[in-house]
This record gives sequence, structure tokens and C-alpha cells, in this order.
Amino acid sequence: MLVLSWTVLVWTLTVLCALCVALLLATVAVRVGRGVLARRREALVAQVRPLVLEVLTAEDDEVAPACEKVAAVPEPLWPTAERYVLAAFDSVRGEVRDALVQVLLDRGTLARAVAATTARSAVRRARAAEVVGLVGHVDGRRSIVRLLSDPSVEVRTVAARALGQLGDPHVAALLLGALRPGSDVPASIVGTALIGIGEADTTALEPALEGALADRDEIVRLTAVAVAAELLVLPTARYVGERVLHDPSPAVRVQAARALARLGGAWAVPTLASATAPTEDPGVRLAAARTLLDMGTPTALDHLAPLRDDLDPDLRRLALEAGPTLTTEGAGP
Amino acid sequence: MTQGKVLVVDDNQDICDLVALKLSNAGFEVTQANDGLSGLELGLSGDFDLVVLDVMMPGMSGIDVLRRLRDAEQTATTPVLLLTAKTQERDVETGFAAGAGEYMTKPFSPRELLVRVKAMLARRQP
Repeated sequence: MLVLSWTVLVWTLTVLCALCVALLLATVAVRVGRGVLARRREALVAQVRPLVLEVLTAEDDEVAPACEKVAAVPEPLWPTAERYVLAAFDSVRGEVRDALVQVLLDRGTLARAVAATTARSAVRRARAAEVVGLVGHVDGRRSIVRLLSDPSVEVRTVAARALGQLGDPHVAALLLGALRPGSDVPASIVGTALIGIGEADTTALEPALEGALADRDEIVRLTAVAVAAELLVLPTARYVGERVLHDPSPAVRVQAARALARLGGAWAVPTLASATAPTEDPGVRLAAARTLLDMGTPTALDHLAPLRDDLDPDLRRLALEAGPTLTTEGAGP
Repeated sequence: MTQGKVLVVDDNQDICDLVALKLSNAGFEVTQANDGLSGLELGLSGDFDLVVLDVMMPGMSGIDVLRRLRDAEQTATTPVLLLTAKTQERDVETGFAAGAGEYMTKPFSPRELLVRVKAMLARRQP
């Protein structure tokens, strides 16, 4: 029995030692393999980098010949070149970027990405959406719009971002629709995409924003208010003003009150003054008071005077910051 | 003959190289730094006619570097062009308030950057 126990122990220890050695060898092999791959990638990038940099720094008549060199990159090296060019699009715009976009189009980058938007793998679909967005060509729009309904939230998120990069204002309503309950696409992604679109053409966004300001979903209204304020979409200002007093959500009323600091004018003062009423949500009252203070006109500041005796210390502080008003009774020579 | 000496500070090596190549092709003598601290050390030497400075860098940000350059007598008036992904109005205000002469957002046009650098240096000349 003792001999058997010793045998079992020895065999067990031997097997464990062998497993440890195998694990160690596997770890070393993986690290060495990664190192080899990284060095190989670096070597490939080193071949394409100077060609891409030459395009990005080219002047006028230097652009076309520099692009030809990139376009002539042999097939084994092309995936590296394509990745490097796409990465550069995050940082660079202008004629040189447009020239490289044409090189990518000629080499089939967009066509391959559009095809990959129907891949079985969500990772491949997301990457495809990212590429379509980076290339920024309108031909990719339809495939990306379809991805707003993708089963994967990561794909939907990348698709929303890509639509912002495509810059087509006609998809604004679809983007806002991506904020529906259960979608889980971050509002910040949709907001940023809309701002990107609107920076090129604010007027084209107006209908979508006006519709969104009346949407039944709170997140959609919040996003619309934020975008309208950021882009200074003045035609939506009165709709935003309506949200201050009439929106069922305190969060939207707060956001709208703050938005009027950029969108509002003299017409907004009565609305903001009403929003400081004691029956209103404390956050809304504070936002409205802050906006009146930011406006700084005598009429706006006058409406802060009654808040000097308010129960809310933050409101009292804002009212005191407003200082003496020009139209206070008894003021004058 | 060099058009001037420019310091480029950006933690993204590709952007650093791109800006440096664009400027050196146009005749500038360019020095690079990849983080705020080394950028500040080089910048405080006072040897540069202009600094191109990224804002978002680990450790010391471009705004902090800019403020330190402005506090130093030898670099108080060195033209600084901020090159940044931060596009909000308040970020622009912060940059100019810290003493930047120009503010360019990414993605940027290399051609436009060169034009602005030349314009900034031309404004400096008597």
C-alpha cells in the first residue's frame, strides 16, 4: 500500500511538473509569437508610412504623383497601407484626405466594407461600419443605416458614429430614432454625430430637431435640446423655450433652461422667470436663474431680485451675484 | 536659409511626424517632443520661433505647458499654435485665455496649418 502511494505521488508530481513546464513554454511561445507579429507589422508599416506621409504633406501638383505611389502598393502590403491611411483620417482633412479617399475607392476599400456589413461576425460588421464612416463616401450610407437596427449594440453604436462622419443631414431623424428605449446606443454618440452633421449644414437639421423636441422619449428630447444649443440652431429656440415650462421631465426642463443661455434672447426672459417659481423643481429653478444671470440684461437680472429671500441657498447666492438692478424701485438720481 | 525654428509637441508620433515633415518641407527647422514635460523643457530654452502644441497629452497637458511658457520671460511672447481634438467653445476660450495665438482642431488640414504658422511668424516681424 505504501509503495502504491509513493508511486501515485511520484506520478502525480511528474504530471504536474510537466503541465507547469508546458504552460511556461506556451506562455513564452505566445509572447515570442506576439513579438514576432508586432515586429513584422512594424516592418510593414515602415514601408507604407513614408508613402502616406508624402501624400499628406504634398502641395498642389505633388499630390497626384504621391497618391499614385500609394495606389501602386502591391497587394500583400495593401491591407497595411489601407489600415494606415484609414487611421490617418482621424487626424487629417482637406484636399490630401480627399485624394487618399479616391485611392481607397479605386482599390475597393468601400466596396469590401459595404459587403462586410452583412458579415456573420458582429466584430466584422462593426469594423466595416467604422471603415465606411472613415471613408466618408455617401455610397456607404444605405448599408450603415441598416446597421442602426443591428442586433448588436456595439454595431449600432459604431453605425451611429459612422453616420455622423458621413455628414448627410437626411439621416438625422434616423439617428435620433436610434435612441429609442432598448437601443442602448449612447446619447453622447448620437449627439456628437448630429453635431458633426450640423456643423456642415445646420439648416438641414432643423426639421429633425423640431420633431425630436416633441418626441415622446425623454432621451430624444434631451439630445435634441443639447444639439440645438451646441449648434446655435436659432429657429428651434422657441421650441426649446416651450420645453422649459411644459416638458414632463425635469431633466429636459433643466437642459432647456440652460440651452436658452445660448439660444434665448429678450423673449426668453418671461419664460425663465416663470421657471424660477417656488412650485417648480429645484433643479429647474436653479438652471433658469443661472441662465437669467448669464444673460445679464437689466430685465433678466430684475427677475432674480425676488430670489434674494428664497429658501434655496443656491438661488439666494445667484440673486446676490446679480447685484443691484437698474430698474429697482427707488433707484436713480 | 531656414524659415524659422519650430517646436512640435504631440504624444501621437504620427501627427508629430506629419506636422514636422510638412514644416520642414517648407523650410523650417523642426524639433519634436512627445510629451508635455519634455516639450516644456525644450520650449523654455527660448530657442524657438513658434511652438505647435497638442492639448491632450498624458502627464502635463498642452494648456499647462502653454501657461508655463507664458510665465517664463524668454517665452512669454513666443507664438503658440494649439492643435487639438477638443472642439468645444469653452476649450477654445481656455486655449486663448492661456495665451495661444491660434487654435486648430483635429482633423486638421496640413496645408492650413502651414499657412497659419507662416502668418503667425509674419505677424511677429517688425
